[in-house]
Order: sequence, then structure tokens, then C-alpha cells
Amino acid sequence: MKKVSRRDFLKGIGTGGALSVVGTITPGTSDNGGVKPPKSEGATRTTTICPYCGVGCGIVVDVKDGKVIGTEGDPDHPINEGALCSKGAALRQIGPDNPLRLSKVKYRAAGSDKWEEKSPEWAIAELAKRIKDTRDKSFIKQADGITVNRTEKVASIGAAALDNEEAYLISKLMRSLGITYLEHQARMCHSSTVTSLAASFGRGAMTNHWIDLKNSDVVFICGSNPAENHPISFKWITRAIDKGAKLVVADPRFTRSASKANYYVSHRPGTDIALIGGMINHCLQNNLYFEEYVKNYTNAPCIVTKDYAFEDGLFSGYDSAKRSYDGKMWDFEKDGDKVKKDMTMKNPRTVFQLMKEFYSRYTPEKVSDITGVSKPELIKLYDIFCSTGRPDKAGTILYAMGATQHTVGVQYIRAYAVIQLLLGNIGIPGGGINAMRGESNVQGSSDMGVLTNTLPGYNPAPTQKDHPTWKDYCDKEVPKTSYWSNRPKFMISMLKAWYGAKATPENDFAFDWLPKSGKGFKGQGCTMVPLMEAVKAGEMDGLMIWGANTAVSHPDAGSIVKGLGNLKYMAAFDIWETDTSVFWKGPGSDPKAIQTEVFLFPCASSIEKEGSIANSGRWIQWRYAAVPAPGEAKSDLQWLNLLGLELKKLYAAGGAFPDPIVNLVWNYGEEADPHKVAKELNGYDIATGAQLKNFTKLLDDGTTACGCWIYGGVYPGPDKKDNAMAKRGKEDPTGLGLFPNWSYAWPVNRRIIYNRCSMDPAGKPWNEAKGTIWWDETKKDWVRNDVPDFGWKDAKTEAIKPPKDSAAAPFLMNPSGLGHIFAALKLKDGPFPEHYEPLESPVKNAMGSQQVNPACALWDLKPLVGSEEFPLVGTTMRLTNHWQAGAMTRNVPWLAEIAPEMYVEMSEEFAAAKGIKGGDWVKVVSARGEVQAKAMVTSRLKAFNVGGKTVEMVAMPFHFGFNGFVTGGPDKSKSYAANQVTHRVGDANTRIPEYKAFMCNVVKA
Amino acid sequence: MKNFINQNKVISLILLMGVIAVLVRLVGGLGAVSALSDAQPWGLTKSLNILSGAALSAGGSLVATLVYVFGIKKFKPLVRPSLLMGAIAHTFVLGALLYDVGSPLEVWRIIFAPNIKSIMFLAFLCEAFYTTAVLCEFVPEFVTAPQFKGIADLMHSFKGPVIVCTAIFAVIHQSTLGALYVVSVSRIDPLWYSRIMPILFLVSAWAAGLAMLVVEAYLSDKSGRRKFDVGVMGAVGNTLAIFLFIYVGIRFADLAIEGGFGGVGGKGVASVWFIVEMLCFVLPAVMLLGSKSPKLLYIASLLVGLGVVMNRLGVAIVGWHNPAGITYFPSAVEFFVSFCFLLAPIVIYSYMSGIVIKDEKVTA
Amino acid sequence: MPYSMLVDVTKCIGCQGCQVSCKNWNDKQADKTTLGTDFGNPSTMNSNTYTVVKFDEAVAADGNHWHFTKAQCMHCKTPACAGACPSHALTKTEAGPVVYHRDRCIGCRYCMLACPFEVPTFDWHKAIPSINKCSFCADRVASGIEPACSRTCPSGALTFGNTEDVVKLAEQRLAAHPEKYVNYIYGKDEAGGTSWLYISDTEFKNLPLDESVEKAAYDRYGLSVMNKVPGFAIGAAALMAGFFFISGRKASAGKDGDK
Ligand SMILES: Nc1nc2c(c(=O)[nH]1)N[C@H]1C(S)=C(S)[C@@H](COP(=O)(O)OP(=O)(O)OC[C@H]3O[C@@H](n4cnc5c(=O)[nH]c(N)nc54)[C@H](O)[C@@H]3O)O[C@H]1N2
Ligand SMILES: Nc1nc2c(c(=O)[nH]1)N[C@H]1C(S)=C(S)[C@@H](COP(=O)(O)OP(=O)(O)OC[C@H]3O[C@@H](n4cnc5c(=O)[nH]c(N)nc54)[C@H](O)[C@@H]3O)O[C@H]1N2
Ligand code: SF4
Ligand code: SF4
Ligand code: SF4
Ligand code: SF4
Ligand code: SF4
Ligand SMILES: [Mo]
Repeated sequence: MKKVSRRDFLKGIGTGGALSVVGTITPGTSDNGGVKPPKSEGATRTTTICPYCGVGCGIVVDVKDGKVIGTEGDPDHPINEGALCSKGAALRQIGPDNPLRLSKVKYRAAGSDKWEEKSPEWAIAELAKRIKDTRDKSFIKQADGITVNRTEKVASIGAAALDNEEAYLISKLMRSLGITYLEHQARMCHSSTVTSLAASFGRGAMTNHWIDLKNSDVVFICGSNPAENHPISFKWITRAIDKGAKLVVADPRFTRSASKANYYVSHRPGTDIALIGGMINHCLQNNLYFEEYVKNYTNAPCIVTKDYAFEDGLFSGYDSAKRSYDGKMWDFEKDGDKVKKDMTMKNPRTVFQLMKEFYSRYTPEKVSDITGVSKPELIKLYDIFCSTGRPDKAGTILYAMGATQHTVGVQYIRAYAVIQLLLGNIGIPGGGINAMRGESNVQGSSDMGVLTNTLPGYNPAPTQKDHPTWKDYCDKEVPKTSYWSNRPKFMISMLKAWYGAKATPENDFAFDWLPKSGKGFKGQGCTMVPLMEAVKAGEMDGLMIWGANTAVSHPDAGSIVKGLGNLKYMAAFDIWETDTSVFWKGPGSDPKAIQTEVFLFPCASSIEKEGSIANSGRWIQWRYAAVPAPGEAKSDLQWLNLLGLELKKLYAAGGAFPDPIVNLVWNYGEEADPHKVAKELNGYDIATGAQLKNFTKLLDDGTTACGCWIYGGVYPGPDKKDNAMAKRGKEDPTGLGLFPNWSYAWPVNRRIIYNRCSMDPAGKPWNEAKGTIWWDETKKDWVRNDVPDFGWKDAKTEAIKPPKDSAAAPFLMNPSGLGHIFAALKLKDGPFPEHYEPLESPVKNAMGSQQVNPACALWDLKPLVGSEEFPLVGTTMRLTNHWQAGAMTRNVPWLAEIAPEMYVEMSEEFAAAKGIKGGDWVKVVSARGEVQAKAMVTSRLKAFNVGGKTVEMVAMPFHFGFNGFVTGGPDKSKSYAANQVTHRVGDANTRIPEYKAFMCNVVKA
Repeated sequence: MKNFINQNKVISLILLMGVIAVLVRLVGGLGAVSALSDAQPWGLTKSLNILSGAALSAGGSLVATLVYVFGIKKFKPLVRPSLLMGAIAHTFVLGALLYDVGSPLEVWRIIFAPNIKSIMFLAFLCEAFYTTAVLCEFVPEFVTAPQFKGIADLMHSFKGPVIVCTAIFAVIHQSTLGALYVVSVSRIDPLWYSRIMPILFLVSAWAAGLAMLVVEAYLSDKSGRRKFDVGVMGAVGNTLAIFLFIYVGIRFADLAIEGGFGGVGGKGVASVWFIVEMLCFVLPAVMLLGSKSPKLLYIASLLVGLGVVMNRLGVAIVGWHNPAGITYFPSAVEFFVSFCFLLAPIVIYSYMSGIVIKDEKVTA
Repeated sequence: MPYSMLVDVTKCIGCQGCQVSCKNWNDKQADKTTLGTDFGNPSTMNSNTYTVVKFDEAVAADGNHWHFTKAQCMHCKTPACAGACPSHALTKTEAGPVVYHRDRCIGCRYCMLACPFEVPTFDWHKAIPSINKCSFCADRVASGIEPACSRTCPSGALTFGNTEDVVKLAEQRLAAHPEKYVNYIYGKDEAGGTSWLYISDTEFKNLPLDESVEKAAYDRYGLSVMNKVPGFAIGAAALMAGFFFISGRKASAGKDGDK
């Protein structure tokens, strides 16, 4: 924090905004015409990071007399260079001056139709009492003879809008309470990414980072709309284009991103596997792949066992009764531990040949019939992107929800992974699969393990089935090779950070204190969808919501608004009164009949608290408090701290299995200190209390403690100046935009992961113009402008390892060391991506007789094919100026004014046929329900020619609801949430709902 | 005053409501009393009460000029009524101008820190000076009470310069009002837009001014206050006819040269409005030639007045291009206020002419 | 040395960040709006909105097009508004911005009629109203900081700098990509030249940039009249004084005769 002098003010101009300023600007011309000095002169300026999307733009906040007088892009920030999209630019209106911000604790008694104001102490005490009560009544110590220590009657959701320190405390506290229904936004967002990328490359993260987009030769936007949803990405995409790169876009809708494209194709929602399958085929048939890369760095030469087979849409090992596969059928031939390979890739059982055969079915004709894209268009698209299959060319795929939110979401992304491996685009500057993270900290909250199946740092969360004991856990989850062989160090250090001295070798470091999840609701696990199904079914007593608006964002939202009334109590922590927290007075609700108690805790917004968030490119950046939160609002960290302390107090007097609670290390002070938590994330030596340099220093003997191993290095010293997340160094030695001294990127400040792949086996960059790391034969050492993502030196002896050692294992998180074209053993729905139709589709699956993903859970729903009642393909999407379930933008007047009403996009032809004019109110109807919307009649949507017929589509934003400054329409008794028409069937692996493709109809309202 | 109110309850009530409307405007801004918008910054008040008002009251100084400068004695009897009419009407034009300006209290800036290159400055200056000048002309003509004789005589001795100034201001003033719109080149329908609007406004204002004299004379005759002098009025009519021919001639030539006729026959109000407007100039021109029938003179003059009003409304409203989807139609309050600004001077004039001009008869 | 802004329509992604940043910097409120047929909202500039982004979609032989065009005061080199203003409430500064001085404005709204780009807007509902329009962030510019909107622009659609540099940049872009750009810089000559310049990949008639705006500066309309006034006034005065004198003499002669 600092005072802005005039001089400070003038600074930043030369450096910042390199794109928006030409030449130099000199202040103070002779006649300034009576112009007053800028309002920010003399203000106190703090830096922060935008709380909206995963780009992680820097923002400065100017404060005078305790009031925010302005916010604007931080010109020093290397990602945004002062730029912001409309949301970031509106940050000021999220601040304490917005009268809609919550400033008092509110409580709604059972059956009441209004809020009452309560004191924070009362509310925390009452909430803790209820949680304890539920837990004590429902606690399961043992199940089937296995110690499970869990409760399934309280759930916690949300965290993506919170800081890392807060998300971490959620993970720590909830797990210690035994909660296994622990979920957050990542599930509905990038769960398919994490599963898919981890199965392909070993980690689930965006491979490169925002600035790196400028190094690309072909930017392929497929399954996202970054111009609207990650607008600052276009700063870097534009720079690539200025240098001659091509931008290609495949999206069912002609988006703002598409408007900037050199080439655009429009394909039917739900058909990317066909689209990319065709590309893989084209690439293989025409030898457009990068052979040396494929041979050396992928498992293409590996030989697959005879068990693997594929026929008519089914892989071997399918059990139709269980709708699941026996994944063991898809494995490699081995010599002892070693996978058999044929380096010529000629053996018909090599992955390469199997792949070639598999994708030969994706002929341009077939693909065109499925996607609705004409053959010549397909070939043009394929040729443009496959032009990057050369050592000196880099192509990147940018995707997000257009890819993840499908019943085949994981396989969508697998398809991208396969083509990128074939083209040699992984690990290189300007390449990669850039899974653009959604919320500002969904990366961080995933890192913190606020998910039922992962602990902090992506260690699997124990399950009753797989990990009855610590030994089972180690047997199952600790491979002999790959970096995960270090897993015990990470796990034990985390358990030490949680349970301190009570975690001993004798009690397996209190491994059993972690809850082991069961089969979940109806045997469907504990992820978000089954969690909410459990709520709806009345099987959940309590629900804590840490910044989420489920009544708007969850599929089949109408049923959620009703179902929430089956809770005994709900505790919502938010900065606004969300639609979810007032569900009891929502559309169709009768407050008197709803017995749910609701606690609404006012939270501090991002500029009113201190802490860190991780952006999509894994940069963990520190934010400062600029002003105090309004009224009695507190940061989530403080609420969590109070709740933790209260629960510890209650359990000190006894209760069901109090050990993990009373012994929980919870030493953050009365007023929790985010720095203290951050230091715990980093890890420390228990004996000396010294902060560790990074996670390579972690040990499995109980002498180190570390909250989240991948965050090792974020806070390597005791003082605030050691906080690596707060670093603001602007050096960029390579000119490639790595900015190694700006904040801290996990793992170990590595900016591009899998970077061994950017070099040939001998350690020479494929493209010397864009080398970040290379082997210096004379010095016998690595030149390291980025942190090597491979074994470049011996961990013990520190001896430098020559290139050939790492050439064998460029993907060091994968046990095979290779990039997985064939995802052996990993996934629930096949080793190669195969096209299946969405649950609801206008046509039969042209690829085989399996209509939908054979491994996805259908709940009570059935595939719908070519329905006359619902003839339109529907999809949901986002708009630049709105955010998610809407609380963050519908309550912000500057943004609400731009798009105050719900709309549905439709083609001009369709509108004309139905007699609908732009601006008319219409109803979108599906088998779930209906939503009213204004018709947005546009040439940007067109009908598809698929399966021999013409199919129209409509698209809706999901940002509107029924509560807030604007709701989406004039009728206060209605919800304008698009999710009233979506369904909850989701991906076979992660259950991410199929928000992006369903069938519906549009009728005049 | 009391008398007046007692005798004219309805009119008093209307004018009182007008005053209230003015107060509302002062508190709530122009938006509170009008349908004006960013697309239509000048509307009914501007075109009816200011542009048309100024034109209709142009007769005062014109007659004085004709009589004193050009020595056309014939019109001498018209000097007093026309000056009275001009003075009252112009006072209200100035009032309307202040009413229509966003910050009336700041108007002094125009005089003390003006942008002397601004037409708006000139328009204000002329309006202010012209009104003053007309008052100066008016005072010596009317103030006959012995106690004010000194002042009246003094003013009388300035009569020459004052009359010349008034005449010049009158000319500049009327043309300036036209000149204001010349800059809005792409926003006015070619049926009305013209680079020579200053000249067109001036000539048509003279016409309107004369026409109003005829109307006034006719009505005074009807109310038995003053006899309609067919000789004088016939001469006025002839002069008016000449002005009309000049006007129509220039206007048509200009339209032909600039291709403005293209809009005739077009859809919508504009085309019809234009045709009616032009008829209001052409018909009376023909009717007036050599005519001595008071009724005919009166009707023709009324038509001229209507034509000029239509012309001003044509420039400022009917021919004004609004962006798609926005149409300006004056609000009820706006109509009402405009009506009051027209009614008030008429009421005052008829009241005062009863006193003043009757007076003249006595002295004559 | 004057500053300019280049708006490169080919780069704009329609994020409306400029629109919000402008409100933020200028402490302007949001409007109560409804959704129209596209995302341009508020649909026009108004007293709370100095700049708006306009949306234009079209289908051509080569497929779809969607253009986003930021609109605001053009900061004319010879501003018609300033020429029209009777009280110097609008002035052109040396640095380029055409700035508004609230304390000098009488609210006559003549600037609104004069501006060929239809930019100035008025507080219709305030007792003490202002004219409102983009100030080119004159306060920032005077302190050497680029305007709020260009700072916020993500995509490089807005580039601020010395006029010379900005014009050069525009020309460079046109020259480097003749296949992409329409060979024209809108604003270079319009209304006598403006400080804001636009380049585009579509004919300007497809954009909300008025092609009918004349090239010569609009203040000439006012000046053409104003320049004639002194001459006219003096001439007319002399003439009429002459007539007055003559007719006065005649009159008094007549009077004498009458007597
Ligand atoms: N303005 C704004 N920005 C945001 C958000 C927001 O709410 N508002 N949310 C943030 C979050 S949490 C996330 S997760 C991201 C999401 O970012 P995106 O994924 O970019 O978001 P969407 O608009 O949901 O979907 C992107 C595009 O996918 C297209 N699409 C639909 N089906 C298919 C398909 O089958 N294949 C392909 N190739 N495309 C398809 C849609 O037409 C849409 O244009 O955005 C983040 N950024
Ligand atoms: N139809 C359809 N539905 C979708 C999607 C789609 O594409 N289509 N996308 C899905 C995706 S990707 C996502 S991520 C989800 C998002 O769904 P949600 O997470 O339910 O939606 P948000 O509106 O982001 O909710 C975040 C809440 O956090 C609050 N908040 C912000 N800052 C803080 C803070 O510091 N502390 C606390 N306690 N609260 C804070 C905000 O006010 C907001 O209410 O929606 C999903 N739903
Ligand atoms: S929403 Fe995303 S792109 Fe926009 S300013 Fe915030 S971080 Fe940057
Ligand atoms: S665009 Fe209009 S308001 Fe802006 S300087 Fe030019 S004339 Fe004045
Ligand atoms: S409204 Fe104000 S700024 Fe505009 S011309 Fe009149 S005085 Fe000048
Ligand atoms: S220059 Fe300043 S005032 Fe003008 S549009 Fe940009 S931000 Fe707004
Ligand atoms: S900020 Fe830039 S990219 Fe965004 S709308 Fe404005 S000009 Fe276009
Ligand atoms: Mo998301």
C-alpha cells in the first residue's frame, strides 16, 4: 500500500500499456485548458487481483478518506498491462459502497417469511451447535469393518471465489469434521479437464499460461469463447495475430472470439470428438504429425495387450448392467515392469496403429454428417491446425466449458490431447492445451482439495473402497516411478500440518482421522450432482455454502429451489444476498411451508481482505486489503476461524469421535492471519519452525509439515517480504513472457509444464527461436530460463543429468514418463475418445449403435433422440458482462445496465418461421421446465445439416435468476435461470453436467 | 390586476398553471416538462415560441424602419400598435429563450465572457439588444404622462440611432435564428435545410411581421377598438405580397439548386407538411396582389403566419432527423407552456392596447 | 504537442471494458435499461455514458461478420461544438481534448446541434444541468496518463499517443495489411480532422461512423455568418443612417410646410 504521488502517477505509463500507447507521453502541456488534476492524485493505492475470471488480472484500488474513489488495471501487471474487461473494470462497484452488499448477519427462522438481523457471535454459535448435533447423530465410525470416520448428513459446497488460505481451511476443517460431501465449482467446471489432462500428461492444469499465447502460430479456440469469458487472453492472441499467427475458431455460435478469427467453423454442440477425430484421421492419413516427438515422447510406440478391443461403440470389458467398463482390459504388454515398444510403430498392436485404425472411421463424410460442417470446411480447418505439426511451429488449443460440460467431456479433452501430442504441441512455448480456468481461484480451490475425491495437492482422498488403511493407500496410490512416488512425503506432511504432534508413525500419522467416503447418494458418489440429489431427497440435514449460487447454477435449477427446502439448515457465506440464500421466498416457494433455517453470513470482498489466488496459468498472486468490509462483514477466513474455534470448544466437552477436531492444529489467532495460513501451505520444518524452500524438502518421517505440497515455495521465509506470491518483478529474460519473478507459479515456479518436450532428445529446442531451456554440451549443464519439468539433476547428489535421462520421461508425473495417446487404465469410458451423442440429441449416433456414452450414469433419465416435442438443440453459455449465477454482476449496476435481461439467441430463419421478432419475450421449454427470455434474433446462429436433416439451435446465458438488482426480466415472481431447462446427466468420469447440449423448444410467451 | 383576474378567470387560471409549469421546469429540469432528448435538443419552445415568435413580432421594427428610415409615411399610423406588439412579443420571446436555456442564471456570461464567434452568442445578443431597442423605440412613442416627459424627450432625441440600431438588430436577429441551424447540415431534411437559411428566415420574418399587423388591425377593427384602414392595409398587403414572392422565389431556387425537392412526394409527414407550408406562402401571395378586401387580407395574412410557423417547426421538428426508433412529439406540458407563452403576450397586448392605443385616439 | 487515439475496429472484441472504465473514472452512474436487439447498451451516449460500444452484425460472401465500434466525442481539431458555444464552456486544449467547463455553460444546447457526430448530451432531469461528453480524460492526459478507456482496452483496439505517432501507426497498419484494412483513416479529414481516428476491415458504411460528415471543419458554418456580421452591420448602419437623415430632412421639411 502506498500513497500515490504525482511522480508515481506518471510512472507506469512508459512501461505499462505497451499495447495501448505509442510513443511517449509527456505530462503537463503548457495549456491544459483549466483541466483539474486527476482524482487519483494523492490517493492511497493498493494492488489486487480481479475476483472474476481465471485470467488473474492485476488491478489497483485508489482510496481517499476510506472510500474507494477508483479502480483500474494495474499497468505493471505483466498479464493485463493495465487492461481489464468490463467486469474487472467494474470492481469498484463490488466494494463496500454498493448498498446491496451484505453488512449484517441475517437469519431466517423455520417457516418465517423474513430475515432477522443477528449478531455474528450468536450465528456462529448456533451454526456450530447444529453442525455438531448433526455430526454427532450421524457419525459413522466404522463401515463394513473399515474405519471411515465420516458424516454424510452435512455438506459443504463452494470455494472457487475464495482465497487459497480460505479454501484450505475449508478443506482442513470440513475433512476433520468427517464431511465427505465436500465439493466446489470445479466439479461443474473443469472436473473433466483435471481427469482428462491428468490421464494424458500427469497433471490436470493448463499447460502454458496467458502471456504465452503470444508465442503461438495457430491459436485454435474450440470449446470456449475467450473474447467474452477470458477477454484479456485476447491481448496475447492479438499479439500472436499481429506477428502472423492464425486464429481458428470452432464454435456452434459465431461468437466475439469467432469475429476475430481467420477461419471459423460452426459445428453442432456435442460433436467435438467427431470433429477432432476427423482431424486426427486427417493428420495421420496425410502424415502431418511430428514423428520424432510422437515416437519419443508419447506412448504411440507402446504395444497394447490383446484384451483391448473396440467394436460398434464399445471397448472391451463392458458390463451393460452396471454401465461400466473393466478398465484393466486396456493395458500394455510388459517385459517385467517395462512396457513393450515398437519404435517403428509398425506393429499392428502399437498404439499408433490402433489409433490409425480407430480414427480411420472418422472420414470427412462421416464427420460432416455428424457435425454439420461441410467437407471442404473440415479439410481447411484440419490443414490450418495440422500445419503446426512441425518442429518450428506451435499450435495451442484453448478450451473451457464448450468442451468440459458434456457426457463425454473428459473424452473431448482427450481428443484435444491426442491431436496435440501428434502435432508435438505439448510442452512448448505457444503450444499446449490451455484449459482456461473459470473463476478467479477455481485453480486454487482445486489445489486445496475442496473436492470429495482430492486432498490438497491432488493426493486422492481416501475412500472406503480403495483405502481401508494407510498401507492400502500407499499400495494403491504410490507408484514406483514418476514424481508421485514421493506421495507419502506430501501426505504425511499434510497430516502433520493438520494434526501436529498427534499424527505419529504409530497411528499412521492419523490417516484414519480423514474421512473415507462411501458410495455416496444412490451409489453415485459424493460429487456435486449426487450431493444436491441427496439434498433434494431430504437426506442432508445441513449445507454450508461458501460463495456459490446453486439455485441458479445447478442443472434442473427449478428442482433445486424446491429441494433446498428439505434441508434442516443452510449456512450461506456470501458478499450478496444470493438467489440461493433466499430460495425460501423464491418462485413457487411458500415460506410458511419451508422449515429450513437459513444463516446468511456477510463476507468481505476481494478488496477488503488479504490472501492469495491462483490463476489459470497457475500463478499464485497475493491480494491486499484496500478498505474495510462493510458493517459486520468479515472475510471467509475469519468466519472459518470462528467456526473452527467454536467447534473445537464444543468438542472439547465431548461428542462423536472428537479427536480430529480437538487435535486439529488451528492456531491462526483470534483474528486469523492469512500469512500464517499461507506459511502452512508452504510447509515448514517442525523442529525449527523454519519455512521450507520448496516441496523437494518434504520428508515422510513426520519432521516436516506442509498444507499443500504443490504450494511449496510460496512462502519460503518467515517474513512478509519472503512471500513469493507477492513478488512483482518485471524481468522477462527470454522475452517469451515467462516473468519468473512475478508472483509464484506451482509447481516450483515453473511457467510452462512438460517443458522437456520443447527440446529434442538431445536437449536442443525444437524451435531455437523459442527455447526456454536447453542443454549446453560444452558446459555439460542445462540453460534454464524456466524451471525444468524433468529430472535434470539427481535429487540426492545434485549431479547434473544428461539429456538422454530425461528424454525417456518427459512427462514426469506419468508413471510411463510418456504422453498418453492411449489412456491405459485411467478412465471410465475408454482409452481412445469415441463420439457419442449427447443424452438428448436430434439424431442417431452415426458412429455406432451406442447412442450415448455407455459409461455415464443416467439417473432416472433416458436418452432422447429426434424428439418432435423438443426439436431444437439447446446450449447455455456466458456473456462478457455477466458472471456465472449473476450475483457478482446483476448486483453491479455498471454491468447490469449492459445486459439487464435474460435472452435466447436464435437464427433469423427460425425466428422468421415462428413469427418471432428480436426483443419479443419467448419461452424456452424442455422436459425439465421452462424459462422466459427475450428473443435475440441473430445471423450468428445457423441451422445445422446433420443426419440428413436441418436442425436449429438456440443458446441461452445462465446468468439470470430471481433475486438481485436485476433478475433478468420484469416479473419478480419468476426465475429467469436458464438452468430450469438443463438436465443433470453428466460425464462418465466426473459427472460434470451436460449443460452444453440438450433438446428444447421455443414458443411465444 | 384584481380586475383582470375577475374578468378573465379562465385565462388567469391557464396563466397561473403556466407559471407553475415554469417552476416545475426550474426544479426538475427541462426533462420534467418536455419530451426533449439528446436526439432532439431543441423542440417546440424553440421553434414555436422563439423562432416563430420572433418572426411574428418582426412587424414592430419593420414598420418603424419603413416609416422613419425609408420615409414611407403611409405606415405612420401603424407605428404605435406595431411597436407595442413587437415590444410585448419580444419580451416573451426573450422569456421563452431563458425558459428554454438549461441554466438561465448563467446567461449573463454571454454578455460578459462571450465567444464572439458563436452564432448562439449573436442570437442572444440580438434578442437582448433588440428587445431593449424595441422598448426604447416604444417608450418615447407611448410615454406621454407629463412627469416622464423629460425621459421621453431624452429618449426621443436618441430616436434616430435607436431606430437604426433596431433595424440592424432586427435584420441580424432574424437571420441569426436561421443561421443557427445551418450547422446542423446532415440533421435537417433537405426540404428545409438550406445554407441560406439566414436570408430565408429574414425575409419570411418580415412577411410574418407584416401579416401580423394586418391580423392585428383586422381584429382591432372587429373588437371595435380601431378602424381597419383599407388604404394603409392594402399597402401593407402589397408589401407583404412582394416579400412573399421574393421568399418563394429564393426558396424554390435554393431547393432546386440543392436538390431539396427530392423529398416531395416522400412518405410520412414531412412531405405533406412541406406542401401545405409552401401553399401558405404561395396562395396569400396571389390573394394579396392588389386586394383591398379586409377579409381577404386577413385570411391571407393568417395563412402567411401559419406558413412561417410551419416553416420554423419544419426546420426544428418535422424535418429534424432523429436516430432510428426515436421520435419527438412534444409532451402535453410542452404544448401547454408554449401556448401560455403565446397567450400571455396576446392578453397583455389586448389589455394594454385598450389603454395605450385608445389613448392615442384621444390625443390624435 | 497534441494527442490522438487510434481505434482499430479489427481488433475490438466488444468487451465494453472501455465503457465501464469510463464510468468508473468519471464517477458516472449506470442507467436503468432494457435489453434491445443487440448488446449495445445503453444504446446511445447519454448524460451518464460518455462512450458506448456499438454492435453490427452482417453476413457476407465470406461468412459472418460482427463489428464492435466504440463511439465517443471525436475531439475535432476544429470543434464545431466549441465554435458554437456562446460562452466558451467547450474549449479545445492544446493537448487535444475538447473539454467542458461546467461553470461556464448556460445550457443552451447549441453544441448539441452543432456537433456533426451528435455527441454532446444533456442532463434533462437536473435543475442545474450539464453538457456531458467524453473529455478524452483531459485530467489524466494532462498528467501524462493515458485515458481510462485505452488503458483498459484488452485487445489493442485503442492506442493512445502523440498525434504524429498515432497517425503513423494507422498508416503502418494499412500499409502492412492492405488485404485486411479498408484504405482509409476515418477522422483524419472528417469535420476538419479529429483527434480520434478509426481504421477498419469493413467499409465504413457498415459501421456506426457517419460517412456523410463533411471533410471541412464545421465551425465554418458559424464563421461564414459571423464574419459577415460586422461588415453588414456597419454597411447597413451607414446606409440606414443615410436614409434616416434624408427622410428625416424630408419629414421636417414637410412638417415645416404643414405648419
Ligand atoms: N464473462 C464471463 N466470463 C467468465 C465466466 C462468466 O460467467 N462470465 N465464467 C467463468 C467460468 S467459471 C468458466 S468455467 C469459463 C467458461 O468459459 P467458456 O467455456 O468460454 O464459456 P461458455 O460461454 O459457457 O462456453 C463457451 C462456448 O462453447 C460453445 N459450445 C457449446 N457447445 C459446444 C461444443 O460442443 N463444442 C464446442 N467446441 N463449443 C461448444 C458455446 O457456444 C460457447 O460459445 O468462463 C469464465 N469466464
Ligand atoms: N447452464 C449452465 N450452468 C452452469 C454453467 C454453464 O456453462 N451453463 N457453468 C457452470 C460453471 S463452469 C460454474 S463454475 C458454476 C458457477 O456457479 P456458482 O459458483 O454457483 O456461481 P457464482 O455466481 O460464481 O457463485 C459464486 C458466489 O460467490 C460469491 N462470492 C464472491 N466473492 C466471495 C468471497 O470472497 N467470499 C464468499 N463467501 N463469497 C464470494 C459471489 O457473490 C457468488 O454469489 O456454474 C455452473 N453452471
Ligand atoms: S474478468 Fe478476467 S479478463 Fe476480465 S479483468 Fe477480470 S481477470 Fe481480467
Ligand atoms: S465530436 Fe462533437 S462534441 Fe466532440 S469535439 Fe467534435 S464537435 Fe465537439
Ligand atoms: S449548452 Fe453549454 S456547452 Fe453547449 S453550447 Fe450552450 S453553453 Fe456551450
Ligand atoms: S477518453 Fe476518457 S472520457 Fe473519453 S471515452 Fe475514454 S475514458 Fe471516457
Ligand atoms: S475495451 Fe477495447 S476491445 Fe473492449 S470494447 Fe472497448 S475498444 Fe473494444
Ligand atoms: Mo466454471
